[in-house]
Order: sequence, then C-alpha cells, then structure tokens
Amino acid sequence: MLELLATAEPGGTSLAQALLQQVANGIAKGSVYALIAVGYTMVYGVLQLINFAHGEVYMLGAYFSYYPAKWMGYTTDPEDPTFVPAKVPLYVVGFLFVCSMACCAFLGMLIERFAYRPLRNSSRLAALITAIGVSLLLQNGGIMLFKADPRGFPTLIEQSSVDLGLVALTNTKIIIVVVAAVMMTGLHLFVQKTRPGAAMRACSFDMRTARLMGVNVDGTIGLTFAIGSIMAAVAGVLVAMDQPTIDPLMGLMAGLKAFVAAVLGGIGSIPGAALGGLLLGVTESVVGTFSTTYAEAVAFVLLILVLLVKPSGLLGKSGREKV
Amino acid sequence: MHRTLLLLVVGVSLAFGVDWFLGEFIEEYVVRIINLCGIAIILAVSLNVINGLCGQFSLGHAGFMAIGAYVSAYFTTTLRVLNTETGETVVRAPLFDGAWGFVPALLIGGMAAAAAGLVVGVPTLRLKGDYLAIATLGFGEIVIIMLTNFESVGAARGLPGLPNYASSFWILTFAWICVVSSVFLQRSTFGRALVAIRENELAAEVMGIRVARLKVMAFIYGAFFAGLAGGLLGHLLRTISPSTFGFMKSIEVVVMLVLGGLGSLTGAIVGAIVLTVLPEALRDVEQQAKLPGIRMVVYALVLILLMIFRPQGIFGQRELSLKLLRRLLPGGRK
Amino acid sequence: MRKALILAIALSVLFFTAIGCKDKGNEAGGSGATEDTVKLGLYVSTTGKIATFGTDTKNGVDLAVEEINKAGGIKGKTIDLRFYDAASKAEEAGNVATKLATQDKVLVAMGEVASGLSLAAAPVFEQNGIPMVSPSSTNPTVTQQGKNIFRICFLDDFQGSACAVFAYKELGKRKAAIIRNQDDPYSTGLADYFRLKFKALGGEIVADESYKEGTKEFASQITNVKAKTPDIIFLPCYYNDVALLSQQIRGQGIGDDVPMLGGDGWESANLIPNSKGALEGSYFGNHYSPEDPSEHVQAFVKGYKAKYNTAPSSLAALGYDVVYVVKKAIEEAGEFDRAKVRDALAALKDFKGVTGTFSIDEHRDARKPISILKIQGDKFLPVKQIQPQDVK
Repeated sequence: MLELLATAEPGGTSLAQALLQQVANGIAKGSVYALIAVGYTMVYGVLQLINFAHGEVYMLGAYFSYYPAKWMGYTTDPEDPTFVPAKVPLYVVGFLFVCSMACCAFLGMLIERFAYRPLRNSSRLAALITAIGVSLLLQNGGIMLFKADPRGFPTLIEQSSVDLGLVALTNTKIIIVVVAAVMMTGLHLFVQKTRPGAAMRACSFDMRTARLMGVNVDGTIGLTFAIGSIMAAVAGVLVAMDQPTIDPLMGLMAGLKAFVAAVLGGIGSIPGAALGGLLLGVTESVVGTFSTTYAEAVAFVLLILVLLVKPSGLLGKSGREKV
Repeated sequence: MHRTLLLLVVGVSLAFGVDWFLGEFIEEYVVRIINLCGIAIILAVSLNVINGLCGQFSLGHAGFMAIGAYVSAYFTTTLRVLNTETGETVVRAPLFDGAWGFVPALLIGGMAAAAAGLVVGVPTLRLKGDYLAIATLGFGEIVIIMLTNFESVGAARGLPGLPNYASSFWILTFAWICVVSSVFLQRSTFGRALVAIRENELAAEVMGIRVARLKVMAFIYGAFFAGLAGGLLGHLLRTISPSTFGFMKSIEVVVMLVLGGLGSLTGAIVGAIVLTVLPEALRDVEQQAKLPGIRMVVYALVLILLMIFRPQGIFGQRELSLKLLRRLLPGGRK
Repeated sequence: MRKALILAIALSVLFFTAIGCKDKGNEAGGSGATEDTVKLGLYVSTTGKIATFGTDTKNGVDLAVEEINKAGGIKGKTIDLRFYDAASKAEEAGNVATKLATQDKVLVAMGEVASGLSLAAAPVFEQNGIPMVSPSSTNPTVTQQGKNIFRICFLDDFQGSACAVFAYKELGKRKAAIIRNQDDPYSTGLADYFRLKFKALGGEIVADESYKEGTKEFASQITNVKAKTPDIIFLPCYYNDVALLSQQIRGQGIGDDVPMLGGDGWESANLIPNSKGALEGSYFGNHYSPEDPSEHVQAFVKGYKAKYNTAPSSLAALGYDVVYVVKKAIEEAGEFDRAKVRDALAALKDFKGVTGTFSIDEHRDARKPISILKIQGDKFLPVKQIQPQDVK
C-alpha cells in the first residue's frame, strides 16, 4: 500500500489514493440514492407497493425550486447570454428548499389519494401498473410543460474543491453527505420515537390490526407518502445544486438506482435504505476506478447477487409464508 | 398429433393467403402495423404463460427479445466491425447467406433466448412477486449494458442493414404457432399445473407438482418466443441497437397483458393489438390538436383509469368466445 | 398417412420459404406534387429521450419552409410539409417513414437526427424510391443503406479525426483523455475516431472513460482522468452533458491549462449559461459560427431569434439547411420527379448554406470543412478551419 502511495507520478495520484477518492465520491453518490430510496422503502413497508412514480417526484422536486428561483430572477437567460443573475442569498436557498419540500409533500399525498387509494383492495399487480402509469404521466406531462431541453439551475452555492487530507470533495458534495445524514437520522428517530412514527410501524406490521387499535390508517399512509416525497424533494434540490442542469427525464435513472438501493438494503427498512444507498454508490465508484464501462452493470449484478443470497435484502426481515 | 399437424397446415396456408392479400391490396403502412401487431401478439401471449398462467411476475421480456434479435441478426447480416485499435473495418459475410437462413437463424435466436431463460429461471426461482420482478428487470438491464459494450455487434451503434426477410407471412405464421401452442399448453396438465402454482404455490407443491421445474419451463417457453419475436422485429426494422430493448419495452408488453386481462389468452391478443394500433391512431389526433406529446399523456391516463375502474383488465381471466360475446350483448342470457 | 402429412408440411415450408421472403420491387418515380403544392416529409423526435434535438431540428425546418413559402415556394409551388414525431424509438421511426412514403407519398423525406432512427427509416424510403436527406445523422452506415439516402452533416470519422489533428498539431497536446457516453452512437463514434487519429499522429490516450445515458454525476470518471494528468480532455457529447461535465472537471481541480475539446454536439445557446464559465478557453468543432459575419448566417440567426426567442443550435442550422438543399435539388432537377431529384441531390455542388459551403460526394455524404471554435466569454470565436483533405 505504502509503495503504491509512493509511486505517484508528479501531479498525478497513486492507485490507493485514487481508490480512497472513489470511496469518497461513492459516499456522496450513495447519500443521494439513500435519500430517494427511503421513499420507496417506506411506501413498500406500508402498502407493499413499488411506487414507480417516486423518481418523478424527485425530478419535480428540482423543478419546484427552479421555478420560484426563476421568477425571482436568479436563473440565467438563454435569450440573453450576457445577463448575470445575482448571487442567491442564503435565506432564499432555504426558501427554495422549503418550497420544493412543501410542493412535493402535497404532490405525494395527491398521488396516493387519487391513484393508489382506490386500488388498495385490488391486486398488487394492478397497483403496480397504476404506479407505472403515474410515472409515465408525470414524465410526459413534464416534457409537455417544462419542454424536454435541460434547464440551467441557479448557483445556490459557489462550488469549490475542499481538501480533506487524503481525499478532496467539492463543498456541494460535502453538503449533500451532511444533509442526507441528518435527514436520515431524523427520520429514523421520528419513526422510532414519536406517536405518528409508531402508527407507521403499526400499519406496516399489520394494517387491519392497526386500524382496530384506533390508528388512523389513511392519515398515516398519507403521511408516509408526504415524508417520502419530502426526502425526494431534498434530494432533487441537493442534486440540482451539485449538478446544475435539470430535465424531465432525470428521475428515470435516479429512481431506478435508488430503488435497487432500497431492495439491496432490505425493502421496508430505513437503515437498510441508507446502507443500500451507500453500498451501491461506493461499489459503483470503486468498480469505476477500473472500468467505468461496466460500472453501470454493477448495480444490477449486485442486486441479483444479494437477492439470491438473501432474498429479503441485507437488513430486511424475511417473512415465512403461513399455511 | 394429426390435429396439431392439421392446425399447422391451416395456419401456414392462412398466413400465406393473408400475406398475398396484404401485398396485393393493402397499403404498406397498414401492412406494417399488422406486422407489428403480429410481433406484439407473440410477445404478449408468451409473457402470458410466465406472468398470467404461472403467476411469476417477469419484467425481463425485452432482455430475451434482445438476445433473440442479436443472435439471429448475427447469422443473417453482413457485419462491419470497426477495430478501434487499428482503424480497419472488418467485413464478415453472413453465416447463413440467403433467405433460406432466416428461419434457422430465428430458431437459433429463440433457442439462445431460451437458454438465457434457463439461466435466469434457475437461480431466481426462490424469489417471489416484486423481488422476482426486480431481479428480471436487473437481468434485462445487464443484457443491454453488455450489448452496449460488445464491439463485435456494433456496441451502442447497433447492427444496421439486417436483410428484409420479416415478411407478413413469417410473422403471421409464428404468431399462429405461438397462439396455438399456448392454447395446447393451457389445456395440458402442464398448463393446469402452472395455474395451480399461480393460485397457491405451497398447495401445489403439496399436491406433488414439481414447482421449481415447471417454473423454469414456463420461463424457457416464454423466453423462446420472446427471442423469436425479437428476431422478427429486428428483421422488420432492419436495424437493431441496445436502446430498442430497454426496460420500457418490457413494461409495454406487461401493460398489453394487463390491459387484456392477466391470464387470458384472448385478452393478451386483444391487448397486443389495441396497444399497437392505439398509439398510431392517436398520432393523427396529436397532429390535429397541435399538442406534441399529448399521446403519451393520454396513454398514461388511460392506464391509470383502467386500473382504477377495471383492475382485472378488459377480459379478466376469461377468454373471449362467442358465448361470452352473447352474454355481454344486451338482452343476452346472464 | 402421418408420413405423408409430415412430407407435405416439409415441402410446403420449403415452398413458402422460397416465396415468403419476396422482396417488394422499387417504385421509382412519383411526384408528390399537386397543382400548386409540393409535399415534403419530415420525421424527427419531438418527444422521448432525444426530443431536444428533434425539436431544434424541426424549428430550423419550419423556419426555412416559412421563408420559402413566403418567397413564392419551390418553382411556384408552396411546400406542404408533412411532419410526424418519431418519438425517439426505432419502431416509430420505421412506422412514420412508411406513413410518409406510402400514405402521404412525399417527394423527398428529411430526417432523423439520431443515426439509429435514420437507419430504421432509410430502408423504407429506399424501397419506395424516395430520396431521404438526413440533416444530422453522423454514423457512416446511414448512407450505405441505399442510393436514395443522403446527408448534409459531417461524418463521425472526419469530425473525430479533425479534432485529433487540431489537438495534436495546433494545440501541441500529447496526452489526451476521453469521456464518452457509452449509450450514444454519436459519442462513441467520435471517441473511437479521435482515439485512432490521435494515436496515429503519435499522441497518447491516457484515459478513456465512459458513462451511461442520463448520468449527471461524473466523479468516478473525472477522478480517473485526473489521476492520469492529461493535457487535453476530449468530450464527444451533447451540450447538456458537456455543461455538467465541464463544471465537475473544473470543480475537481483540473486547471485551465487543460482545455476541453468536443464536436458539433456542443453547439447550443444554453452551453455557456449552463456551464457557468467552466468552458472558458475550450474548443469545439462546428459547422459554422453564429458569430460569422456573413450576411446569410446573420440573417438566419436573426430570423431564428425573432421566431423562437432563442439562439439557434447547430441542429437547428442543419434543419434549416436541409430544406434549402432539397429546394436547390428540385430546382436543378427541373421537375417534380423523385428519380430526377435524387440525381440532382447526388450531383449537388457548392451549396452555400448557413452550415458552410458543401458538395455531395460519391458516398452521398456532404464534404464540408469543420470550423474549430474557441469559447471566450459569451462568444464562440472561430480559430481554425480544417478541410477534409487535411486529415487524410
């Protein structure tokens, strides 16, 4: 290892250093996967439904903060390339986050109320197809409303490279990791320590019994969707801050990867989503050191391997079928 | 046995007659849509065996199609491979040169897909429901990423210049074979065992059904026809690239199936036809309304509303027959 | 009995094989013109994955059609443009091509941007004897599909090689890194030919990284590139990816002394605002420069801005030119006849378009020079023009 570090060419980096750097990149990438994965995992935990539309909620999260910023005059203008928008003050950044979170929470509840609730008692396949339908609707509606070409997202925070000793990350990536960690911990505490959290766990354990025990099941499911959507909205704005162009199809790949992360970690488990996201991000990045060509296949190979060894995912509970 | 052969002869002659009729009297555009319907029928009917009869939710059909398309094209097409180190283009004449090679190439493609079905089927047997869906989706994506990186089949560029072999005759013949064999399968002990697995796997196992084996066989059967359909589609489009077989293609086939009614063979056929013709019909509406993109929005809305108001699909698990028609018509016997 | 049946089936299968695959003959000729209109077909994708490129192209086409019709049409006939959306799918491209060819019976078809979709449509037009002109499919195989298939853009091999020549000879760079979109044939085509030429000239490719369509985070790829200390980075991608890539490359601390280089996919009014200054001092090859002072280019840029409120991209410019190419071919053919128009297209010489002056060569491809532009402030400055013979 030391030898590897020593053979670095001037200005270049050794393999060991490169690997460390890739792990750091992977953690940043994985944090985003984890934030989105939480939404999949919570909904699946309660309704046993793969909410395919969740990736689109993430996409809309980015747009819900883009438009307010645009109306306030913080975006660049393709008609007038010389126009330099003002620096976005911190309180506006906060406002954009809150705005996007509120809109997405509302949207999540809306989707649940009108698309999924009527199907709660029909087959799971019907619900799944509806989820695919909602996803297609939001995607194509997005293309019609926002147009297909990518929009330049305003610079919320001036990007710079921060040296952390062995590795270097941009400040926006560090913010992503920190915010994701805080949100995930907060969510975990919320689910474990509060009354609505207990209601969520009860619904996920057995919805009928929970209803008999006086839990407001409909309200709890609405809340689950709202919280999942808030996490996706945060992910959307964070990613737009780090990679400042947004387009109506950005949720497709991100949603699929996050879903894979949720299944890896054990769908239904919040710490599992965090673990799955980080594992996926780091593996992709580390494999990327050797071949970025095949790094994309890694997510799916990893998925199949984990499912074969432990079908319920790394931290998932395995349910035995009763006779 | 005699009946099988008779059916085959009838089907082949029918396909031949229809092919002649289409070629003589029908506009090429309509013929093309009919051909695409034929391919969609093969896809939906074969997926119905895995998803509808056996109840194994597979999202990997496009992956099997891709394998069938690439393998058959590998035999029928002149390959031009750019060597990225030397800059030379290596030209390789088709292995099966001439129209005679089309059916053998298709069958080899189908068998390759079936082999992939075996490879996917065996390890994923332990998985159920959504987990199986995700594993098969992963399989499809892996196939696409692999193809994107194989320089010998054109990588992302894909394979252009497939010969013009996919005539209406072959498409209709294979669609006929696929439908007839599915009818036989559904009525056989094998088919009934698959339904038993769908209804209750544990109970089926207790009754002495070899669940694992039958599930794999259902996968192989479905994959074989998906491979055939992929080969036909490739030779109809006359160019293939990995992006044609993305996971949206798998979803399209699932939607056909669910629209018609999962587990209903006639439902699968109707779903395949409706979802091939509908987007074409909506094309003119879109043009008139001057709202580019409204087509897909309508498609998505129809999907959601259908699931909310008729989650079992148009036919449910029933088959379309004259009897059913009579019952559905007003004044009919209930 | 059974043996006889099997024999009969075997025989009939053989018989049907022989005639089942009959090739429908070419129907050359046909006019696509009525008393006072001439039907032209356009198929590009205005929905789906590549909707951006199709929409730009269609805008350019619409502008040209509007101008021509205002000026009296082609030989006195107004253009009746039949447009269908190819929806970014090969099947749909084939379907709409068939619709244009057999229902609308157009005189000439124009389209698609993506080579994969052009390849699905080309056999249909070839079979029906309808000339097809692609504005921007750069893959060499497209025009190999038949004698009716043309294009007016440069090919991957020329553009990739020209970029390599420019990097090696003009900029004096020796260690190049490539980051390509592995799912996009345009991107891999450019990357492959750049790689070949750069190595043939004596340079070294120190890194060749790829990413999947839709990726927005390139940290892995850039870390690998940075470790190899290249002196130039070749980005054969479209502008939306380039905007992100360039910012992340600079964000990871690769300095301004390592310029980025790319192809015509970079050209867009959104490139400079979306890349937020990260592309300062970088270069890309293009058909033309919007800053070109010539009257023709400025009139186009002005007309486009007036109609669509944004500056044209190279795809819009190619869409604009393709209509005028067709117009010139019809005028030179002298009559509204497909075969004659085809011959006129094949013999097209020194066409003056906004994307440069070009001729159609014996492979039915456009022979035109590539302009290398440098990004400075909010301007694309032309620095060098490379002729097809310079890279041989």
